[in-house]
Amino acid sequence: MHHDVTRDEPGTHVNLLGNLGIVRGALEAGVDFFSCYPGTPSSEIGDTFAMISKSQGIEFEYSVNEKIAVEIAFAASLTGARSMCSMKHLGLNYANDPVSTMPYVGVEGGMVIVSAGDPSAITSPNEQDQRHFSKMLFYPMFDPSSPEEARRMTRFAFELSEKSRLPVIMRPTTRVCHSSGAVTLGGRPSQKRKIHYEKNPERHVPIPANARRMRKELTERFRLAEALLEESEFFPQKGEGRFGIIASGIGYIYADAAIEKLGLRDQVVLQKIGAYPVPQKVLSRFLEQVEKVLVVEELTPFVEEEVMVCAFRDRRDVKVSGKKSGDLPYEYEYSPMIVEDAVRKWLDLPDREKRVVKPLELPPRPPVLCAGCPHRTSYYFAKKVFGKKTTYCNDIGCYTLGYGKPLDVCDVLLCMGSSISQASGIFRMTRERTVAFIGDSTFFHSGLPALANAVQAGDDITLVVLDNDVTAMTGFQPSISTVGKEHQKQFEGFSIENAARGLGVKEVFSVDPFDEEATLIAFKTAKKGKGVNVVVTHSPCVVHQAKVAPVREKKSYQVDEARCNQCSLCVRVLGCPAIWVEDGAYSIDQDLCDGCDLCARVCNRGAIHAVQREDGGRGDGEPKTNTNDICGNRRPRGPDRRAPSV
Amino acid sequence: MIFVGTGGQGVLTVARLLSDAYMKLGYEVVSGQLHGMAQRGGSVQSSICVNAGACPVIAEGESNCLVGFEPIETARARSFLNSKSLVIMNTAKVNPFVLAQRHVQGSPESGRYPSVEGMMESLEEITPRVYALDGSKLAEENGTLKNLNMVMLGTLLGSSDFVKEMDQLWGVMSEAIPSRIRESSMRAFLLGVSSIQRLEKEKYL
Repeated sequence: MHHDVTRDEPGTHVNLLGNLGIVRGALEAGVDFFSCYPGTPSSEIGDTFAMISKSQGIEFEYSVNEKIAVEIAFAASLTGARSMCSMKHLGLNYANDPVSTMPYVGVEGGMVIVSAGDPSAITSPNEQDQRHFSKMLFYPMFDPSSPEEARRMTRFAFELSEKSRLPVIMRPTTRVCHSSGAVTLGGRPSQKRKIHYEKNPERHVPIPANARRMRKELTERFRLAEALLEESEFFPQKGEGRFGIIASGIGYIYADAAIEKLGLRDQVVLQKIGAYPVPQKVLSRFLEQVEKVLVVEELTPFVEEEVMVCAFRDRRDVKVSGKKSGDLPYEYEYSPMIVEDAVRKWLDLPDREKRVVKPLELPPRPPVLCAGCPHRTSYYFAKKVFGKKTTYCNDIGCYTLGYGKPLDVCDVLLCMGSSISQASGIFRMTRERTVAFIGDSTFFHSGLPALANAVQAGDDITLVVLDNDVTAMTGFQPSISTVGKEHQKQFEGFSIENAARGLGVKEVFSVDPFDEEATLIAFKTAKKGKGVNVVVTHSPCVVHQAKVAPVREKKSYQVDEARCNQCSLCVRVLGCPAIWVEDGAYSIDQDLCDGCDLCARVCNRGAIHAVQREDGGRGDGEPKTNTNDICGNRRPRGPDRRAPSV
Repeated sequence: MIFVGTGGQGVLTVARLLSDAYMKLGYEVVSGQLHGMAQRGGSVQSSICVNAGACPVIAEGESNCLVGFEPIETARARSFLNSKSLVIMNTAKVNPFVLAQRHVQGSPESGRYPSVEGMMESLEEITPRVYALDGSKLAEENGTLKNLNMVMLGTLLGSSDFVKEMDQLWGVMSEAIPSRIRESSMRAFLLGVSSIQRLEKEKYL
């Protein structure tokens, strides 16, 4: 798909994901700089830039966290470059410190922040409505409904940003990020922009005296942005009639489909809201035409309140329906059915014909740690040593799947990097040694300050860093500890062990979690220790290994039926998806088994044996080059030799 | 049309190939995907809407075709079907890991994989056009399970619903398949085509 994104054939229709529509829009705007921290549903944006940046002459980085991604991109804009950075909705919270002052300072080259929303919290611990950032911090914000619109809006966003000197936010939601459709390629600039940093401290330094001046200018610039939006193509109307539906994002697509399906084009005007702040004139013009209004938008009643304020200001007696009236839900993603039902009710049409599908009990298929995942092994040994009573604070990543039975190593969780601070808080009150788990990427994202804090306080916590060499959850992006070729540069990878020592941790252990003896000794010593200690369990992600370095021959394990007494221990303690029970008989799925041997160690009866296979199991037999050719050059499994074990 | 399965079965890839092909042939096409954490064994769903407006999400009862790469996932998607829908189901099971847990923590009964026949019957209550085949076995016989998506694609395009479009669509799609796997993909696709044609014949003779 990525070669379609870079094509220089204006007018051609290509099938692109919403996220790639954003990439294309940025290329058409001549983006010079891109940074991101991966996060579903935004990850494909960064991964695409990782693949194309070199050929397109774009400076690119996977940043250590979103705050850094934003700061770097903003500084790049101060040199006159057009810059973009992407993240998920929660990343914008993390970056909110610089984000809140950037509009005061203002950009030089256009800057667009992509912050992808996740209604229904499909891959997130919350759903939130970033549109409020627009009002709170003076950000023009775009809310695309389709990949083509994502392209057009992104392209326009850079222009708007430069004209108003405001950074701009693109806020697609999961449904738009991950839908594909026709994108009409526009032209791309033939020349690179001139890059030059011109010193201007009065303009670039928001000390209080300057900030107060900037505050006044900010009001003017935000007004200018509203005026530019008012003339833009992102507030179209469709149909005519005395009833009005006003809709944004994917809600617009559902409302449009409902109007079409119910044959209401000559009764209902559909007003699209494609950006914020919603220009007052757009709302006034719309309210002039209609007797009553239904507002269709996901998350909070953001537009709905704007409509009510406009109706009051214009003294129009228009009934506004939406979330506040109880016609549409506040929570979760909308669907075509939810919107169609609301439209029917709003217009007193008969109910949708409900089809009765007989209920059928089907087992759910929740995500699970993969067979052979080194996190499972780390968890199993940690729990063996620290026991059931210890409080386990967990963090954000694949390893959050340690939640629930049978591993049960996630008692508390909050956000990126919170495991360490939460362990501190729980220790401080209970005075019992508390365990925190964190992944390599999250450790560097926001774990470091929390670790320094815990060391300074002398908290009795054991931090287990689950180091699998990549940011696995979001698609195997490199983390800062990744060894390998990144951005076409050979990168040694930061040592987690040395980072911990540098922050004053006295006891640092470095083990291969599949080395049972060393791992148990490390955990046992850590349990008896004083203050903060750190155990780094290093073993590469098995799924990523299968992609980049598949092996032709490998082991897998089988159950010896004659020896197995169906004690169920392997299932009860490991939760490995490769172990299967049917009619009391235990077996191992040969396609899934990665040959990690943990089940063979757990089995008391010695009923699980290795078998040699030639097909190479999960690997393709041919290495794939992933996003950035990363990790082609791997650190061997096991303790980090650059940081000898204590 | 809707494609469903589990992570790693090639659902997203085949849906992307097919929607790209439709677009190259000048159709209006939008598609959507649901894959929360599919890499870790979860459910995957991909929908393709051809000349049916701009909405990438298919409403209940409005899918013309459902191609299920796995029995439970096929049955899970049955709310999208209507009495005219075509359903093609791969009968090879991919065990949801919760079943083993239920088996040891609850009762052996609660940990049993639901009866494939029972799930087929529940689909047949909605539409008579339900076809089941062991696509995984066909793919493996053709060399590798990785070809399952090509087998399933063959069953869809080989069905009587796609008589007019098959050659054109496959022509465009096969060009997009990397040359090193084009031949095996072609064989797998044709296995799917002949299977569905046989199944349709059996049903209506």
